[in-house]
Amino acid sequence: MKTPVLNEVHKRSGAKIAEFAGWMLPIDYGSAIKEINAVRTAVGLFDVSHMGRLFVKGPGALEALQKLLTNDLSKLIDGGGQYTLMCNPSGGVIDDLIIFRRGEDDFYVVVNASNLEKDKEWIIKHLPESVILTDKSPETALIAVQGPAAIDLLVKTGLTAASETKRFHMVTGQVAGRDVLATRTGYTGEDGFEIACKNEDAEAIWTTLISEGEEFGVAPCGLAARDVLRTEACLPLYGHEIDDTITPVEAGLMRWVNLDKGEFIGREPIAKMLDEGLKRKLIGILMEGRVPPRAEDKVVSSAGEGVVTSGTFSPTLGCGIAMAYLPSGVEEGQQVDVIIHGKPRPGTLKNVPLYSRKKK
Amino acid sequence: MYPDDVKYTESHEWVRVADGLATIGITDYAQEELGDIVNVELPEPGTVVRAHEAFGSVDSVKAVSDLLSPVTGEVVEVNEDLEGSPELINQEPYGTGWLIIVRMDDTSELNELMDSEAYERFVEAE
Repeated sequence: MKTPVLNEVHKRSGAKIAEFAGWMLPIDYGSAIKEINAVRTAVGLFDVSHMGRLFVKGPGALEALQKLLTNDLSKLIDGGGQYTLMCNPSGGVIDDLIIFRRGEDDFYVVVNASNLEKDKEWIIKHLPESVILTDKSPETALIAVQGPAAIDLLVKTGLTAASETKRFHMVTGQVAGRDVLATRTGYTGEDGFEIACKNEDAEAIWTTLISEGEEFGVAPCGLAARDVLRTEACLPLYGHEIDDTITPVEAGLMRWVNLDKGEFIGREPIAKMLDEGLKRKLIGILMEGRVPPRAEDKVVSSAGEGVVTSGTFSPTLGCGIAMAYLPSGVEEGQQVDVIIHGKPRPGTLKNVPLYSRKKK
Repeated sequence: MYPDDVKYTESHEWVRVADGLATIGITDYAQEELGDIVNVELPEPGTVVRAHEAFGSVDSVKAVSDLLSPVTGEVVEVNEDLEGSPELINQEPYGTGWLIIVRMDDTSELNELMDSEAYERFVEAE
């Protein structure tokens, strides 16, 4: 079992630790609800060092990655990034990831912890000899700073370019006097950054963000809060909303698939599915009352049955919420029953996202 | 550390008995392990619950857990405050966070339960 470099720091902060994707990680620091509220109204810190950080570089990198990924990588300028999917030949999702262009044929890629080894193998298999993949995950840490006060906190602690950096762009700079590679991305539905640093700098950065963040109401946040936040914002989680049997069409992720950019793995089955129409689609559910649906609960709709992929109680919305795959005939506003603990419980369909932040 | 006016189950419920009425809740250890409780499902008054069987469930942020009854009998009262404020279980597990009151059929069932010292040893061994 792997432990993050900040493990001792988390333990000192009273974290409850449990296993996730082969890692021992903080689940909460006492109260997941308080952590969720901190991210929605102030700022939260997440240690997401378990995620994979890869560098793909060398002549032909752009061309090779264009064939592996669904989004159009040629649109990126230096410093720009995009959410994208890596699909198998059947159109199923191998992983969802974020990729940034550092320069010509030079990319920074952040992938899911649970898929890191699979992704590396698949990417390397499709790279020409001139392109080198380097896995920097073991020697670096990744800290997510998320919430409406995230930018102010980062500017205060040294990342002066934070406020001018566009969404999904990356910037190099310093936090707490240590070098970082920061990207304006996240997995919470709030504004913020994800900051990569050397392992030996992680503790100084984390503790500085905590102490300097006091005036903003900063809270260290665990995986429980992270899962609720991303479910409220309806951001997909690999193994739940997407996996290697679900296509981006079904998952409602076609915004990040460019069928016109040329050939890529999975293009044909995706285009075919788009032509033929969908059998199932991903949609949100707002429950009456607090009862939280859970993954794999059955959903009964007027168009037929479906299944919950992620569900929880939403402190932000004050009710149970879920994402579910349902027959494609269903529409927003329709009533459904979710079978929770053997009992049908009423809910209303709502198109995703269930929560979106008010943009300034 | 654990109150000695209640008895304990191995599944981390407590029961406090007065005049044949058993008030049931979950222990401080249980609420700590579960983390923030966001929803509680309880039976209606009049329902018969049985010792060692599920009478309801609690949802934490991450998961749902069954509640097992320490005793057999009829539910005479349910803590209705929990419907809007399940966090009372986290705040006062032995007080305002109680779950149900049961009129016991057989008080000898209490003999199977642990006292606070035995429960403390049990929790340390977990």
